[in-house]
Amino acid sequence: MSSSSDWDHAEAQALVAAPRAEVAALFWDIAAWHAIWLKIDDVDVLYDDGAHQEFVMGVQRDGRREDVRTIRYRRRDGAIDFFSPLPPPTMVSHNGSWLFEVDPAQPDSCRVSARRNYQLIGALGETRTQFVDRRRDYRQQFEKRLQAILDCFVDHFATAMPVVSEVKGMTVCTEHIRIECTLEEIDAFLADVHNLPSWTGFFRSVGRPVGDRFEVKTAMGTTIRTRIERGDRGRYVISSLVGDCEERAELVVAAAASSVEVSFTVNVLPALADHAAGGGEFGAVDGVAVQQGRMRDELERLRAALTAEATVRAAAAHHDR
Amino acid sequence: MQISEGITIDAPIDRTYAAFADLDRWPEILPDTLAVDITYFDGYNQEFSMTVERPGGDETVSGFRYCRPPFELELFQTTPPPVMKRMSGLWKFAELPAGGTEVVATRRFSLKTVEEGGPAVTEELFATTLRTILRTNLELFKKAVERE
Repeated sequence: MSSSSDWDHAEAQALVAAPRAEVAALFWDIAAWHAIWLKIDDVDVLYDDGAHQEFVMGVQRDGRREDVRTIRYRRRDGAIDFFSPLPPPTMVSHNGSWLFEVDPAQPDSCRVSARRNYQLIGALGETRTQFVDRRRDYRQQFEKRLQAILDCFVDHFATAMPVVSEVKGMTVCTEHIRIECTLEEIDAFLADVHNLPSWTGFFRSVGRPVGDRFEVKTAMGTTIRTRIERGDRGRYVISSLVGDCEERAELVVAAAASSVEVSFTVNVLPALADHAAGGGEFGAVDGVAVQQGRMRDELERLRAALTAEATVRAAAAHHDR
Repeated sequence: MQISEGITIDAPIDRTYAAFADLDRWPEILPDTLAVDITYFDGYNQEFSMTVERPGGDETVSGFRYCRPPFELELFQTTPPPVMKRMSGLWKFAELPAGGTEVVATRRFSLKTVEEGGPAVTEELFATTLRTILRTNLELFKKAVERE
């Protein structure tokens, strides 16, 4: 039976350069964490109704895998409380919260606090003094780990990296490129579905509009329905309906001096990621390396298309004078 | 869809809350509750599963409760009854100025479609049945707490 004196507490804080709602939403999206905090092996979300969530997460701690089952509760202000019915193997109990506070002086930033309450399991033959020392050391390490998690989120928002939720076992491929153009120019280009065939290999021609999407012929000879969703913070999602399934690829654009930095992210199905390259273009057998090479080619074509557009515009401007 | 039912129980709030909070007592209070298994409880967070007798056969639901004595119990089911997609709820307890405790039980639910195994009735009609069950259960708790 435990007593209140067995409980230890750990805490860490960080200032994240993004609005509170956006930060709190990403902390709730546990399936997206793998792209931010690299100690996560996998996450299986068992239940999520927006206010309550149950998941099992496999994480690396001290070179070993730990499976932790956690239940989370989202308060109206976005704060997240949680407990772990299956805690880390070193603990008897584990609960805590993520708190999100706005500093009125910095409304576009958010202070995130991580609070943890936990009880360690005593080791066989361990004296009281040894246990007290170990608890102190553990707390220091735990606070370092919490700080490292928060710092990953700080970095994530600072660099506007794309967020991609991991669908169990999927491999996430991201490629980057720098293009000499303005944000307005790339926005006009990326937001138009009709431009997809000029830089991607998968989309071959754009047909008629159907609702808020366009019918698009693919390299595989199929017709799918595609639209481009403009998100905030320079985010564009290419959303395609293939039968009943939605497939998404994401681009994030950020200004960088006189150019723009473009990140392109797609999820690769596990069956594809496991295979070696082969099977022809867009065939059923494909590999991560092939996918990444294709994405690099596509980004190069995107750069060429935008450069060509800029050249045409410059020529037109010359004629006007 | 959300439904609510309320009842006044002639007992102090602590005793009333305790009866609803103690899942081990449910089989003695509610005759259709066949078994309860509490797999985690730290004084606030609780994980449970419960088997209840229904006309179509026994049903086992499971989920979590947040225990906030003596004013509130919040519930959500990760495994709701087979005909439901979602089920969550709340019991609120308030001391009455003249003595006694008012209990208000709220349930929020959505049904599966017929193709998914849901009932061939509208949510409105289903809500009427659920409201009756909720009312019956509150009356059974009232009897149990008042005879303590």
